Amino acid sequence: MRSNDMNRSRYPGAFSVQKAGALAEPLAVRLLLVGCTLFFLSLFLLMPLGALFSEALSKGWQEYRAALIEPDALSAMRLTLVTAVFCVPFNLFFGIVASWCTAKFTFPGKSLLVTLIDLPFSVSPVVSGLVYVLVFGLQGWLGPWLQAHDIKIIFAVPGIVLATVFVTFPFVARELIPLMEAQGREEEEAALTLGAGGLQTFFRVTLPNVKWGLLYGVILCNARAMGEFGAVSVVSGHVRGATNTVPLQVEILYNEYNFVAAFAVASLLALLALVSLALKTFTEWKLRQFQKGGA
Amino acid sequence: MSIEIENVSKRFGAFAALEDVSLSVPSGELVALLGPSGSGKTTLLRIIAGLESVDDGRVLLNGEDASPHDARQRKVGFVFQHYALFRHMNVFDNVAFGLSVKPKKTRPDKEAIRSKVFELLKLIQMEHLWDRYPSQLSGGQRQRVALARALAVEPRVLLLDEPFGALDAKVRQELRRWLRQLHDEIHVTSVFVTHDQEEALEVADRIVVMNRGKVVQEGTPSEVYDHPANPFVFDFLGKVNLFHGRIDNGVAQLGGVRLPTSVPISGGDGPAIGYVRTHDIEISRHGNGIEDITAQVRGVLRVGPLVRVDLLHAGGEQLEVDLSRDVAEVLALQVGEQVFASPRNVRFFVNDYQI
Repeated sequence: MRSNDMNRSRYPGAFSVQKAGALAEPLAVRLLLVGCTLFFLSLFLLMPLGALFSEALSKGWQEYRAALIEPDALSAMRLTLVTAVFCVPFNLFFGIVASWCTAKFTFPGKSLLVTLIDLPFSVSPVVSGLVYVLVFGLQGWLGPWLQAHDIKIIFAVPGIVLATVFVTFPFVARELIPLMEAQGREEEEAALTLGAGGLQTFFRVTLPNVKWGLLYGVILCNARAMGEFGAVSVVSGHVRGATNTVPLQVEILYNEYNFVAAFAVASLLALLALVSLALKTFTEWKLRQFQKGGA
Repeated sequence: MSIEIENVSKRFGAFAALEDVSLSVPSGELVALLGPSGSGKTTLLRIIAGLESVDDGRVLLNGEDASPHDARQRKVGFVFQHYALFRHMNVFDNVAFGLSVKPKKTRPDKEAIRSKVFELLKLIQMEHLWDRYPSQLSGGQRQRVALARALAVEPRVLLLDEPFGALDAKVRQELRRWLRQLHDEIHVTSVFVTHDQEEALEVADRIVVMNRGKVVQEGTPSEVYDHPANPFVFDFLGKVNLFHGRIDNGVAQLGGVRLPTSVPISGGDGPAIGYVRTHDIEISRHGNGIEDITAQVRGVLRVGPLVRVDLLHAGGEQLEVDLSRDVAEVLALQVGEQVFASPRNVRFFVNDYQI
């Protein structure tokens, strides 16, 4: 298998050329297929994107700029950034710990843990939000105690961060577990027999081996943390200028028929998505190169 | 430094990987752990290295109980079957790793590390490839880098897990000769695992044959090859022919053929199996006495420097005979003709318990 991969990386063109020759369709069919793809791509992706920016800029730059520097919008951006700043490092740490222990060690309940990591993916975000309301809300399990100690979680920033952490839980771990499993434990064992300690092994062997996968997971995690709507919507309480994140702000503005402002703020999210996409593509490419080069 | 294994047992779930294994490797020797897959040889090697724990028994390194020390502290060099080179480091950094992770107090300075690494790269004849990454090296080169990396920390013991297993035949030949020479130069106590009997016979000072988690025989290559302790070792080291039959009053009647008993028969009367190596059978057109078996030639096949002859003897069993080319050319055997086969060095095992 190893040598196969090497061959493929050395002659990347060989396979595709052969395929194209053997499986070539008539020109008309190819054009039709490409045309279909382009049509749907434009209809469902490019057109909305274009509409978004044209609507946002429909009353000119001045209005666009004014919508973005409006205090409520700025506060929403600040909150979104704060959420991401808490969320991403936490899930980065958790993701590394979880994948390290599941990929490199065996222990009872391991497969259960892996399944649990996936839970946020399979649960509707609304439910994720509601769970926190049930636990921390006024009528919830910890509600009375929290109120007695004057700690606000639901309808406040901590709740938003918690809900976002939950929703973005799996991104880093999901990315790292298969990668680490594929790499096995031999390099770590080699480091150990050469006298390296646990931390040295981690920082000099394990981490460099997964760095691109890790970055990839972080980008996805960040994109989701900034763009999460459902779970955050449940726990936020929609207090303007206080507990509104950017996606919630877009919704409020839209419901108030303030289209220019809504689309202007939404364009920020769209730009974020485009940047994430570019970064994601780059790291994916790096990751593939790295895996190909793997000895 | 010597290695002592005392009554070591290891289980993985219900599978007994090692059962009460004892073994001693004198200082400076090159020992082969030889056995089929699943015989526990790699587990034993990993236990010596401290990469695996023991359920029972203990390992002594230089007469000292090694169990309080983990793999990091044991100062053993371990070479992995699939090299386990650090893929994000170049050759130089791979070899320098063990020196650069030493605690500050004992770590050599940059210049010392550099000269040490190049000294080792010279030893493996790869100085000019110091800045290559593992993915840019051939299998044999990777294996040599792995060896240099293990040697860089001046291990007390060198352990090699199927060091040539993943290489093609030609490179394997070269590397094992090179390993033998290297060992003669540096004399570090070494243990290597292999399932290739030829490799063990060629490279090792001593061979430890393992099967099903137990040591079945240990000795010099010629001891284990010429005096196998049991049918398993006989079968595993080289090709053999089997004669099924009985021993009565010290005479072997195997498959209707009477066989010579040059070596005393162990175990008394009863059902027995005679073992003869394929090169220990002489073929002639004219019988030379009582020790001949009449047989029919079923096939003649050239295999490199040898000619393999398939015979069907009067007892109805197949015989495989390896002749040298010269002998075969003089004989010029034809398929279907009757010949006489005279086995030498037949060994009998009365209580066949292994195969």
